[in-house]
Amino acid sequence: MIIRPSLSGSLEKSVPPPLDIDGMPSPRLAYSLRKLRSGYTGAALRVRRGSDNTEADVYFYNQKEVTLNSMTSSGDTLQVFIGGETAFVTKWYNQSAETTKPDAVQTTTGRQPELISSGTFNNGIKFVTTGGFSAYGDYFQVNSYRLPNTDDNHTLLWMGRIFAFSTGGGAVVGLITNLDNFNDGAEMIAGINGTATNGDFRLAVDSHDEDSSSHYPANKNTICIGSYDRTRSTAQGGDGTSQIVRVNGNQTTKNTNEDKHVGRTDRFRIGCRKISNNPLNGSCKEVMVWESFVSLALQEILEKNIAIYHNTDLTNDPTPFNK
Amino acid sequence: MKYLKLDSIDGAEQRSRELWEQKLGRPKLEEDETEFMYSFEVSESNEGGSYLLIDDDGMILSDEEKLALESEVLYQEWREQYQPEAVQMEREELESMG
Repeated sequence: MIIRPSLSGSLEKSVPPPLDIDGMPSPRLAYSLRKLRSGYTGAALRVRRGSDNTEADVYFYNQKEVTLNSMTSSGDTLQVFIGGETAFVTKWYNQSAETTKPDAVQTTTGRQPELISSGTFNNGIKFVTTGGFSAYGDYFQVNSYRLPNTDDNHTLLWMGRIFAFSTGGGAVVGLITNLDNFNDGAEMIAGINGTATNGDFRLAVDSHDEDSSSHYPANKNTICIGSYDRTRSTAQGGDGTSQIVRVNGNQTTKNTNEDKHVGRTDRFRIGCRKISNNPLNGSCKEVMVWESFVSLALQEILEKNIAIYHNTDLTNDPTPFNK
Repeated sequence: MKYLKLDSIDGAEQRSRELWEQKLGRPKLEEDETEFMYSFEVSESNEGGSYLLIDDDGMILSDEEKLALESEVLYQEWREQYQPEAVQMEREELESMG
C-alpha cells in the first residue's frame, strides 16, 4: 500500500469517520481530535485555561474536528477562550458507542498535556516531559478500566508523533499501557536504541515483546497498531502470527500463546507506563482500544483512513537501521 | 524538581488537594476535572509515608514546607527503601530495552 503525501493532501479530511467503516467493531476506548463516528454528539475534550484555571468543554468544529474555531462551553470559540494562554487538557472524552465508555483524564495540574501552548495550536495533544527514563511528564489515565482477561485478544491503536528519541543508551516511552507490573499486562511503547532520531515500537503481552522490524524517524506522523489474537498461535492451532505490530502499514508478527494477567483497574495509561514513569515526549491525535482482535483487513482500512485524514506518509518506512 | 516528604501514606494526596484549592482561591467546581496541585508517590508498604513532587518554584508552599524540600538524591533513596518493587522492575525493563 502506498499513500504519498501529495495524494493524502489532496484527499485530506474527505474520509468518513473511521468507526463508521463497514464492519468495524466497536472499540471500548475511542479518543481523537476528530469525530470518530458520525453518531457521537458529545464534546471532544475539556481544557483548563492556564491564566485563571477556568475549565471548559471543547466541541467539534463543523461536526468534524477540533480547531481554534471550535465552540466551547464558555460560549466563546476556543481561540477567544484561550487567547495567548495555554490550554491544558483535563479530559479526553470517549467517543465509543459502548454503554461503558470511560474518559481519559488527568487531575493533576503539572501532568496535563497541552492542546494549545502559549497561544499556539499544537499539532495534536502535546505531552511535555523533561525527558529520560524516570523523569515525569504529562499523561492521561483511564480510571476504573482494564483490558478484560476473559478474552486475551485486544487491539491498541496510537497515532501521533514522537518529538525526539533523545535519551541515549536505551529508554522507553509509554504510548498505551495497561500494566499491573512490568511484564504483567499489555502495552504499546516506543523504544530507543541509542540514537536521537530513530526509534522502534513494541507491543508487549505479559513478558512477550514484539518489536517493529526497523527504526522509525522522530517528528513524523506515525500510526502504530498492536494486536493480539491468541487463536493464531500454533499452540492454539493457528499459523503462529498471534502477536502483531503494524507501524505505518509495515507488519511484524510473533508466535505468542499467553494470558495478559491484568488485575488492577487503576493502571490504564496514555502517555506513560505503569504509574507515571516513562513519559511520552511527543504528541497524540488518536487512541483506540478494542477488547478483541480487529482483522488485518480492517486494520489496513483504518491505516488508510488515518493516513489520509492526518496526512501521514505510509511510505516513510524505515530507513534501515542497525538494531 | 524538588520533593516534599509527608509522614503519612495519604498525606501527599491530601496536601496536594489542599494546595490546589488554595491556588484556585475557591472550592473546586464539581464539573471540573483538575483536583491536585502536584503529583505524588506513596510507599509500597504501610511505612515510609508519601512524597509530593514539586515541579515548579513551590512558592505556594508554606515557609516550613519550603525549608523541608528535599533533593533528588534523598527522594531516590526513599524510593529504594519504600518502593523497592517499582525500582527493581524499572531497572530490569531498562536493561531489556538497552
